[in-house]
Amino acid sequence: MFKSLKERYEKWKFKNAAKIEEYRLMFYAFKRSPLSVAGSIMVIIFVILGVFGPWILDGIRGLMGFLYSHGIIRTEPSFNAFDWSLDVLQPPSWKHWFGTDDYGRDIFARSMLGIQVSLVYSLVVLVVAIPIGIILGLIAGYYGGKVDEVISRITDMFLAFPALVLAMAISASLGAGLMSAIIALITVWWPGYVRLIRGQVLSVKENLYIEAARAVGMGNFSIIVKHILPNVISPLIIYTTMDIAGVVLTGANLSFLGLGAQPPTPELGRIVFDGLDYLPEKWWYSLIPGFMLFLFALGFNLLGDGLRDVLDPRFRRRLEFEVKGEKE
Amino acid sequence: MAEYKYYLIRRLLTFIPTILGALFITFIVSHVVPMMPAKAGFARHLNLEALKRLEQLYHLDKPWWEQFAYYVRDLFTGHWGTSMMSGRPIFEDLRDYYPVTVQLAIAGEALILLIGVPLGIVAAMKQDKWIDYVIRVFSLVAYSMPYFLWAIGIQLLFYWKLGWFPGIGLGKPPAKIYTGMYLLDSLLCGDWSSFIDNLRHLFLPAFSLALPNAGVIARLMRGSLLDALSSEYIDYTRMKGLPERMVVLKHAMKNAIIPIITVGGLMFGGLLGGAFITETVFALAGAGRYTVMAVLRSMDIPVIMATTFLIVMTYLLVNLVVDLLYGAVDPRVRL
Repeated sequence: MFKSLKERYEKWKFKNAAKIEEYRLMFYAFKRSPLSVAGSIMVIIFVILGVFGPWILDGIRGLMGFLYSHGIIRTEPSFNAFDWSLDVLQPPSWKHWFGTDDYGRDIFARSMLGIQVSLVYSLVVLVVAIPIGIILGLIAGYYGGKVDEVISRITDMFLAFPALVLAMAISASLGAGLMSAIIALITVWWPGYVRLIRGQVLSVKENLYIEAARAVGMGNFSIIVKHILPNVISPLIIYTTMDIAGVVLTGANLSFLGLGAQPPTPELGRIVFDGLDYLPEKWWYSLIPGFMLFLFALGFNLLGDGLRDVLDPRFRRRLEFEVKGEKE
Repeated sequence: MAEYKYYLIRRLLTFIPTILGALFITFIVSHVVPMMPAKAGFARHLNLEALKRLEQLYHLDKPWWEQFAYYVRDLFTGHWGTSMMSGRPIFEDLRDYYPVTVQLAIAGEALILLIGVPLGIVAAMKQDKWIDYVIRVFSLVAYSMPYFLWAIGIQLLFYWKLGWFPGIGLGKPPAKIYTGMYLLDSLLCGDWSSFIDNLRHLFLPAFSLALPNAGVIARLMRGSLLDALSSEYIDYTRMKGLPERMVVLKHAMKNAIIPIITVGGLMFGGLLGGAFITETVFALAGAGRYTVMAVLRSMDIPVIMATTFLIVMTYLLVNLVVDLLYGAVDPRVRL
């Protein structure tokens, strides 16, 4: 049983040797650039904070309580994200790591919970917008003609708006709230993907292997799924990674303008807005949550930047040349 | 030049359906989406007579294409409704506030090009040297920061801490107001003290609005210049013995600048949107801050729809100008 599995693996390895070599090269290229490694670490941290934020906060609270009760630390940090307290507008200290806001709530705790909202934004928006973009883009690019004309004109209508302005108008007319902000962002976001996919399909379509597939008698649907889709995936991945930062920042802008989740739900952009009244003395109120958003976006941008180099075949060939040149 | 005339006519003709399309979207957003709950709300509290009269007043009893026609007519004749917040007609409010926003966006666009293009050229000429890495990291950091963080950071540092520039409100109004853009007006009537004051007041907001976009432009400029530098006609100019600076600035730039024109034009829309945030932080009395206040205080939908309409029209107009410029610079586009 095990032997046959091992044999199978050897066979697979032999058959896909070129592909494995290519992936190894990708990984090497990725590892070589410190910025992309830093980016991926930041992304992992933020995704973990986003998914498990409340539990992590509970964990830290428990740990600090334990340390305090054993006399290892002198003051017990307070992580009250929702309850009002008398510690109004306190600067960052051991008790309140990021300071407190005008209701005496802990900004560290609120920021941790705010990351979750930002992550939900970006994921939901992209999960809905990308499939719409892929389907419409594939149809428009592959069939061309009138279908393409209709889809492209509708896309153009949406792209005539600055993203933030249209998102603001939509979410205001739906009534402020997390759900309407998400709907607004989706409405603004899908046309970009249609345009990207359509452009890629137009160039992939010209390849000889597509014509060959058609000559053999393959149907349109299987040509699209088996030959065109795989070839538009890699630009899509790069674009998406960079785009997550864009969604997060636009979502933050919406919530800054009061159109995101409504209080008391903690949202980073909204916390920054609330802190504006207390500048410049209470700088931590606005600046620290804003900085968290910056780190979030920076992580995804660094990762996308690294992925772009790695997924670019020209870059890989140059690297291969360099590596093999060193060996010889 | 005959072909440029055809290009011009063709481009102008495609402009009209784009406007109508954009207006159709704002129509759906302002009429279809929020009106239904309003209608339901009215029906419960008003008698049938009053409801009918309201429907007639707002043309709600007509089929949708007639409603759309009324909507477009009202937009272009300046009947934008009354602001719940200020109690004045929205058209008059925005006539005062919108020039401030446009002025800010134009200043931002100028700073984007002034910062982004030179940085991109330097990075491309010193490829893989330390200065190239510094510029690349700067551009990544610049466009990863949200507008409001740039604005708050810059305001804290240059206004509150160092006090180099004024960081709140508009400058001294000029003696005469023609357009509402103080900078332009003070030039027109020769009021120098007001001009300097407004320039100083405009600097920090425009700078914070420009920086994220300047990062994008620097990066794009670098890539596009490197692309141009690797082409054969550049090898030829080098073989001719031209100094490197001439090669880059005169020959490679001619091709490398084309994507910058396109993207720079597209950025104008982003700047108009970003002005909402910058004006809020720097307390500028512009259309952005006016709209934000209208939304925050009273969910004033007509105000936000009017601002959206103005911004879309401005943006489409800028794109039209960019396209025409593009056609003039690059003969290949005209075909």
